[in-house]
Amino acid sequence: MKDKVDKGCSRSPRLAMFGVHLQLCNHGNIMNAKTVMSSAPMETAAIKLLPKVMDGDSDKTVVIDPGILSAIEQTTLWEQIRIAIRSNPKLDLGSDVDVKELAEKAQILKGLTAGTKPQIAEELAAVVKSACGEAGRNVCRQFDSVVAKAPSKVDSIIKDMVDTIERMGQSTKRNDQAMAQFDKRLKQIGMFPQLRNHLKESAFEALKSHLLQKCQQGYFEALEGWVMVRFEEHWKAQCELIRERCEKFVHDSNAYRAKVGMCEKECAARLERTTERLTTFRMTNEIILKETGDDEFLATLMANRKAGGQTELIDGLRHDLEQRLRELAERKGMGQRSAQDMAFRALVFALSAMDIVDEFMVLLTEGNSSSSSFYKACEAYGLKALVRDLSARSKITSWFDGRDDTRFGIIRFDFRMARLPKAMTQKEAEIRELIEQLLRTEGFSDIVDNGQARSISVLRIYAGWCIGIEGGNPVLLEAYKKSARTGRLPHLIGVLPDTIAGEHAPAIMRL
Amino acid sequence: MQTIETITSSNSPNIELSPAFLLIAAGGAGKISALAVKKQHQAACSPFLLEEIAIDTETDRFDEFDFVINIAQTQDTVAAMVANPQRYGRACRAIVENHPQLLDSETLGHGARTSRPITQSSFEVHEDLIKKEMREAIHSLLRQGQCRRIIPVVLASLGGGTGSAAAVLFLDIFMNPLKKSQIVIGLPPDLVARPVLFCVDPFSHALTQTNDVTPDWILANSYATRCELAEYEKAGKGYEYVFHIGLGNDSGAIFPTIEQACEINGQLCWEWMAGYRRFKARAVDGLDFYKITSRYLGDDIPENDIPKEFHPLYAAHID
Repeated sequence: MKDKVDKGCSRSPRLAMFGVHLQLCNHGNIMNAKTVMSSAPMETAAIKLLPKVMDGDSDKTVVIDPGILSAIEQTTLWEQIRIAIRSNPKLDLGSDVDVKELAEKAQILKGLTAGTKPQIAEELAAVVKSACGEAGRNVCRQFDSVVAKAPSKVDSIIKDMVDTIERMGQSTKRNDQAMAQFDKRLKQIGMFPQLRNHLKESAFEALKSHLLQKCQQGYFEALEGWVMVRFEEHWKAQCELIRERCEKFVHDSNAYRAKVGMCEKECAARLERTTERLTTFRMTNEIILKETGDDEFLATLMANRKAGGQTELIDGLRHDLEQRLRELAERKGMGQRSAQDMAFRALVFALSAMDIVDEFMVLLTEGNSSSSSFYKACEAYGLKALVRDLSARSKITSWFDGRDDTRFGIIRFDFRMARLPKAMTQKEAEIRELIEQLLRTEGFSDIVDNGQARSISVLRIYAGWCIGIEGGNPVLLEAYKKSARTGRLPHLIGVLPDTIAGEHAPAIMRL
Repeated sequence: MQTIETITSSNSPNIELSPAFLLIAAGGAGKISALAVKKQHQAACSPFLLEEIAIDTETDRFDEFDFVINIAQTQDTVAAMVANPQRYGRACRAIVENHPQLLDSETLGHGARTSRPITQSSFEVHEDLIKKEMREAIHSLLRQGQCRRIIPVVLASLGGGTGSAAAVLFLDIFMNPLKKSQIVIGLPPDLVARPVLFCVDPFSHALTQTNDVTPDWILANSYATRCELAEYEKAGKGYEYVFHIGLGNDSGAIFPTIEQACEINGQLCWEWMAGYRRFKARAVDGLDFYKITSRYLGDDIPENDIPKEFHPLYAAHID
């Protein structure tokens, strides 16, 4: 053979492997080509939009309704309690108050202080509890309604609430001396009849009236002083409940913001991956299609979603994202009812940042009808040129020197498959149909949807040959022989019968 | 009768035609390829069942896989092997007896360094670990969902020391009934199908080496691997399919670095798995039949030029 080659024989080199005619034809060459977009407008838009969609009410200004908050103002609340106390016939004084009646009331007050009047004490405590509880519930209702409208304003809302509550605590003053003063005045009235002989009738009556008035005032001060102690206890408990609620909300709010931050990071990571892929690791089997910029992407998105402005766009996206997240939560086994009843925040907590961003990307893809921009990009590249380039780039990378022919017993198996994005509009369907026709002429008989809206990929498998006829073998054999000089062990031990310890096979060295 | 279109476009799950895939990333190049598969699989929302397992003689990028088999030799395993070579397999015995220089303690744990017998000895030392991890990966795959068939897919470069050896050694595991049954113990015997190999022909790997001898070693490894795979095929124990990726074609697609070639290998593997039902529907009447019945009939086989006495045992001479 060597002589023939030296004499300029045109015959190609002999096969470089023993037992080629015994080998199985189970080898194949596989190659693909695909389109990639030249920029990443969707990822860039996602970074801008997703935080706004998740914090959808950040631009709305919500203030606390002073009408509801006035319910917890000190004067209003305390006035309610005072009215309630005085409306109790056991505690109120008649219009013609006399010493006897005051003495009876004094006994009730002493009984309250000593704890021997449990029924009246309970009635008073109930009045206080009811008033405080109602005020507390008002605060919570107000809190919930306001924060539900504007989650992003929660900090300022909580601050207002806490300020109001503290202001109230400071402004309610208790008179600790009231009971002693009332006792003193009562004693004075007890001594009063002794003065009757020493004063004129008119002076006596005026003095009596003055003392009774003072004593009556002292009675109410002492009674309110006792009630005030209970009021402080109940209100303190209410404040604690409201504070806990606020703290929980602040905690949840911070956690939510952290989750939004994670979603932002996920979007940024996707952008980075895409741009990295676009700029630094571009493969030669990729056809680059030019795509629209970020602004054009957003404009198309708004037009397709029929949104009048950015606020409307964000509201619409939030609504659709919520729907998608509910469906996803349901698919992930959270239960239909549970998933449907969940608040948006709870849904966000229940799902991973990756899931949320995935769903948002799908929303952007659908909303932008991005395959329309994709197919538009295909059209701009030129459909014939695109299919021709895809077909060419996916050509095989193994060589056979013409031995892969039926006359040599090799029956070719040429499998060609193309994956295309779904057409979303009539126009896209027309473009896709043209691409499919062109692909068929290039031999791509299997054409399927790829489920990924922004790329066409083609796959070619050329199989059915044995390894012995692959054109790279002579070069590999030369290297095999050369490596023998450096004492390497190319073979596994005991696989070939003539390479006992992994050394170069003597028979192969003769080839 | 169902056409290919009705079979492949049907929404109802066709379990026979929807296998799960056990991806075996062998060596450094295999790991790069498998990570490309993983990335693409996640981006496509995991349309089929897939589990990845990495095997290597060094631990680089192991943290990115759920299942890993670290077959790096340590001073302890080498000491045990040297002291008791008869307790291990033929590769360990041969290395201890004939090539002790391969067990240099300074280079242990740094890969097979293009030396395939090192990987073979590591397989023998870590045989139980390999079977255990393979078993767990299969169990994990079964837990993910219903599948009647698991196709092992090996990803490797044929030029390195680990991947090229593992490509043959895994074939030995899957085609040896005893070894295979130790992995699928307690499971249906036909659960694990004949494996498929996606290999990177190491031209780019060899051409980017900076010294004079390594390219020859890499290409020699590739040649040796091809011969060994052919040997298994002749015995009827070859891979179901062996898919090759070369350096490039004449239309501008070229992969000048091993990383790019491996990335493409991963992409191709994923696309093949995603389109498996279509491929199989076509292959069953074509490729699957040809690979059994077809043989090369050309006259230019090398045996014709070499005297019979120099032929290896497996190459029958044609008169």
